[in-house]
Amino acid sequence: MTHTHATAPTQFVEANGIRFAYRRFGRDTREPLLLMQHFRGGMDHWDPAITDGFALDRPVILFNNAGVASSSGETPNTIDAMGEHAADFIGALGLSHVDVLGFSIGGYIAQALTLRHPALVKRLMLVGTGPRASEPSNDPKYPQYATSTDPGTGEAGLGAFLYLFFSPSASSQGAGRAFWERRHLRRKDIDSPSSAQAMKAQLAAIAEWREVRGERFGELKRIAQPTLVMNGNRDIMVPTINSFTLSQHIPNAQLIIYPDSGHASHFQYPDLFLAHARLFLDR
Amino acid sequence: MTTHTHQTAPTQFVEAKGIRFAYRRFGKASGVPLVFNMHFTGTMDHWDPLVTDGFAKDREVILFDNAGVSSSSGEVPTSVERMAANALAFIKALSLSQVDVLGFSLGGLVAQELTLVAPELVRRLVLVGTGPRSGESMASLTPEAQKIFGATYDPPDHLWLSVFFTPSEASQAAGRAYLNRFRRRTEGRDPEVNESVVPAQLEALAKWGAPRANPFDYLNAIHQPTLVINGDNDVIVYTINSYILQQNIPNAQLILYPDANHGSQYQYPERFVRHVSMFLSEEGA
Repeated sequence: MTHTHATAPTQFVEANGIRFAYRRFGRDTREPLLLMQHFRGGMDHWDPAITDGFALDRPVILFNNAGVASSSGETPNTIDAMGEHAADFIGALGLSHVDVLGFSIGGYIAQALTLRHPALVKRLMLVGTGPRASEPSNDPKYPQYATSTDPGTGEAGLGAFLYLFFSPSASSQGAGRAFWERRHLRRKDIDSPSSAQAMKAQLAAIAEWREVRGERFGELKRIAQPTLVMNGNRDIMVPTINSFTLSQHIPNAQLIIYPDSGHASHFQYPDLFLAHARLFLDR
Repeated sequence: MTTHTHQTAPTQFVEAKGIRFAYRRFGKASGVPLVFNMHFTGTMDHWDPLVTDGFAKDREVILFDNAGVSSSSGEVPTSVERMAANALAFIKALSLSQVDVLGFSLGGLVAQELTLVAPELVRRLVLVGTGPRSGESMASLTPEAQKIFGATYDPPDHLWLSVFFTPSEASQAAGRAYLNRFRRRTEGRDPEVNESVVPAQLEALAKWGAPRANPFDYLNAIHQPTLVINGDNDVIVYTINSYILQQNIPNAQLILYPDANHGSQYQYPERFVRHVSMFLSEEGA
């Protein structure tokens, strides 16, 4: 039977002492597309409009990195170590290479994975993210919202997502609520919230990622993969200029910036995002 | 009726404001036509047939020479504002009530101004390899542009390999392919511009680029859905200017292509036509 975002069973694979939770669905042609999630997020935080859209013509793999949500182990406190875990996971699935989409901290990890294991990554999509030593957010409410927890779910709530991921305009906020509805369509076999340890370690890793290492942005020149960088035009979490910087320093990068949108432009314009991303992946 | 293409569309003429405007119109007659605004010293024949014919499959394409350029009569004005007034007169002379507008480089400045003075006429706006008023290094030609335009080329049209493409092997190969396409029309070809065009267009560019207070505020008044496109390494109108356009036009999308200079749309013509067509048709939006 053909599984979708809502029905794909959570599976597990062991690698290097970690029991990784993952879901795989979609048409079994081409390279699988591996999705790497944002701060504190698990498999259920993706937008089914996107994952099911990709699944029409390729395998889609969602996973929780070490210590995140339903995966075992501890979340490490550097992006590089997270990239190593991702490489372990890909290897444990027996895959020689994948296309990778990384969102936010998932985009940092995707860069680390690509730099450390270039043969594993065929094409790279970096969404709402930035390079090492990015321009930091100067939004005063960002830290408070990003670490907030709705006691009912143990995760950040709708208000935090609407503030952090979407622009204040009525249309963007409306798109945010529509995303929230879609994201909760899966009712069975749902992921557990990420732990306090995962959040703390991810915060430490993000802080470390802000440090310059060697020549600022110098490592981006070593990303030889065809790359698509995408963001909203008013990202208050990872400011949009960082997407421009990625595209200026990665040799083979295309940039797309969407209007009237924030960190999660792909959740605001899922159809347009999919059309652009599939054009890129299928080139 | 014959279906005309970039190569066969006859040059026609229409009068407005005492100017005899040369234009070509071809493509599938449905919906809103797409009007092309050309770059510094360019004529109708400087457009890439892969781009124009690519659009013509789904929509009407209108190429024209603005006043004083090539086959059009009149004088080239020394301001973008008056160039836009002439463009507006041309579009009205064709009795069009609504158009989509694509402007490349200097043509992108004209397209912005046209949109501001005739917002009801312009449905959607495509700005390619261009920038805002008082944009970064736009008060005069960039040092790279001065060097490129100051050199001599044999054959002369090899100028465009340096203006539009990066030095990389892949980009230069795309450039040579573009030049082959660009030379293909031999009958009814537009004459190259005369010597009075360059100083007038340079003066208009310099006025547009001159520093002023709050230079980007005017972009807030462009309410049309806008698509901004450029190469990631434009040395003629620096790429950051495309980012500034996107950040200040309320409803603008930005696409930057890799390893590309000022003429990214000629380096990736199929991709460009696909992206712009998606935008004009709101496919997926």
